[in-house]
Amino acid sequence: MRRSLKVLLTTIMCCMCMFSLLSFSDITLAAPKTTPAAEMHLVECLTKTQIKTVQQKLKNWGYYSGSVDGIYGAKTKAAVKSFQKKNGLTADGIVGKKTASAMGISLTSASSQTSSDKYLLAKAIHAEARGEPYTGQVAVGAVILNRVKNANFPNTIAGVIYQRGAFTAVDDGQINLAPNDTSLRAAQDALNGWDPTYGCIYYFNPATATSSWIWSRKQVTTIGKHIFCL
Amino acid sequence: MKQSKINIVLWVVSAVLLLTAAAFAIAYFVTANNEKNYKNQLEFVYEKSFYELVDNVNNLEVNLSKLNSANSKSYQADLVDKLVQQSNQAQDNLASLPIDEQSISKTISFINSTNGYCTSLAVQLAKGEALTDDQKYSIEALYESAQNVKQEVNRFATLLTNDYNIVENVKFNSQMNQSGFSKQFSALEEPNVEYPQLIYDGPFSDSVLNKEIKGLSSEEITKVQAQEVVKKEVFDYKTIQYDGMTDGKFVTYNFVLTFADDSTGYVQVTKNGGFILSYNRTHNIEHFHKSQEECVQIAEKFAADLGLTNMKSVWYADAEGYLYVNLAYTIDDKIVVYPDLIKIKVAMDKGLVVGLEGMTYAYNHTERAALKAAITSAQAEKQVTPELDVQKTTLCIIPNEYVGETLAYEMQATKNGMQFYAYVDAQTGELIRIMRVVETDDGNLLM
Repeated sequence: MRRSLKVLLTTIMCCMCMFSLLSFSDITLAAPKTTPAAEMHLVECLTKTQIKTVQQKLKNWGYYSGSVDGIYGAKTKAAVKSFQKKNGLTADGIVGKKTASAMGISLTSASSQTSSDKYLLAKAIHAEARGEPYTGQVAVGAVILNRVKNANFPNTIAGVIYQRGAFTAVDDGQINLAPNDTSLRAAQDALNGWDPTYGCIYYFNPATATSSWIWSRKQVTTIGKHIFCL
Repeated sequence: MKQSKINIVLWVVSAVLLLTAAAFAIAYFVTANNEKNYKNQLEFVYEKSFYELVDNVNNLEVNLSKLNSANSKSYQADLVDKLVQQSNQAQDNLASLPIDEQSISKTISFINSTNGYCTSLAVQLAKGEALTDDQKYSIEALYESAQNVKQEVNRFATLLTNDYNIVENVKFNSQMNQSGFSKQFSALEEPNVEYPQLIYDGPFSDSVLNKEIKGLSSEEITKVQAQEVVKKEVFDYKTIQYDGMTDGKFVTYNFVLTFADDSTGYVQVTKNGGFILSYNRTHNIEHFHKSQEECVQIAEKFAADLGLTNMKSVWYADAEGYLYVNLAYTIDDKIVVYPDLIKIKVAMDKGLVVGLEGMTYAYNHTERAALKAAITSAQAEKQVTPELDVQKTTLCIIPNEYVGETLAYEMQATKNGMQFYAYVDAQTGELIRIMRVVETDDGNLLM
């Protein structure tokens, strides 16, 4: 009895040591969230993913009930036909220029570089400002683009977004969330020159701002929860 | 009997616990090993960037000193090209290092200014113009700063060879404190470290960042007057509510609009001159009904309704169901003034105007003095190769790459079925720019 109790106690002690070792070590067990590859391809407009997009859109609108598999089968064709009929297009079951445009899909990628910049900008907007009014989202995109043009910051969109300590949502990994339609539209507007802040390079949320330095900047405007400054 | 049963139970429990502990121990060592690998890989990436940065900065310092010793224009041009390249690379490498934003902005600024300044010198030397005394003085000042930066990065490089580990010195997720690694660069960011102020027209220059606003009248309007500018019959809103001011490069009164379909809008009216500087409205598109041509007309009408006269659509691009129409001011319906540009965004389902961007117009629009070309259109056409088949030549005003604008001949031409636009300075007869039209499903793109 005594011996076995001793063994048990030692084992428990050993285990406790192990556990404490584990819990004090700085290993993070949670895997980082990654963007699904499909999301990326959607932006780059690859053929198979294009079909998937068509299927997804038709499914959302109630024309298609099959699986979103990227195979252009009879079911997909029939769905395309009924979509075309409803929208006053020639019902030939072929996704041409007009049908694609009616679905809001671009068939060629003019320049994949531009769209990946837009996607990255949209991710940053989504991470930093989802839940903000639309103008506030465009404004966050504009601040990033203003930084690209400013001498005090890196010269590329990626350089600015991933600069250490520049954006909380990058540091805490929220940047890896997939952007939604609104943030993609806001990114497009910002790239097209919309800047409701007229040249601001900083913004902060007065409720959560931790740095006193930020209050010393010239405040330009408040949109939603953010104060934008020069 | 009872005693031995308890013994067996205790033995079994001990064995299970031991096995679990062993499993955890193995998992721990595997994870720890993985983590070590990741850390090493990351360290290599950082160190590669850093060692390249050292090379870039060393070369910058050497070439800046050479630039002021050289007297041949072609050699100067060669050095300036190298400086542009090296500052670009230095910038890339610096941006790859995990240094806190606020700990490095002055150094980034120095490298960017060097890059912008050398870019403008390269243009000047390419035209055959010599460097001025003022410019030589600025180059000397840049050289002195470069020495300082060189000294600091080389000091740190010595640390790296003595087992300094960048990853170990970067505290992630710490917003408040500078990381140990960032502190290494603090000597470059001291308030007493001065970097030269440079005067030039080029990237990152003050003249680009602090552009003069020409398009707004000096007359100031009140909040009530601003609200009247947002005409109900044009915007078709249900309610309008004042939402504070913007007090930056432009001073605007901001209003939030609500519409019958529950969507909302945001509009900014300048205090000077009551100009609608920016507008956007939330809107979701489902099915398209409008053609691009219809939407262009809608955009032109919207501009006219706001009192912006003589605005003509110059190009448009479609993105996900929205048509971005670019309207430019035209003089006498003939000369297109490209700097006076507004963008109007039309939703292609119901043809609603859901956005307007007028910043470029506000910056540039002004009454131009009598525009007179010094060369004829026939002379201008000689500036492009005979292989280009010129269909149409018109006068227009185009914005310069950084500051100012130029009266130019615009030639629409084709070659091998591709469409080109060529621009020739109407005063000097110099070919300024050639653009190619790239047709995409989203409309035509100028490259």
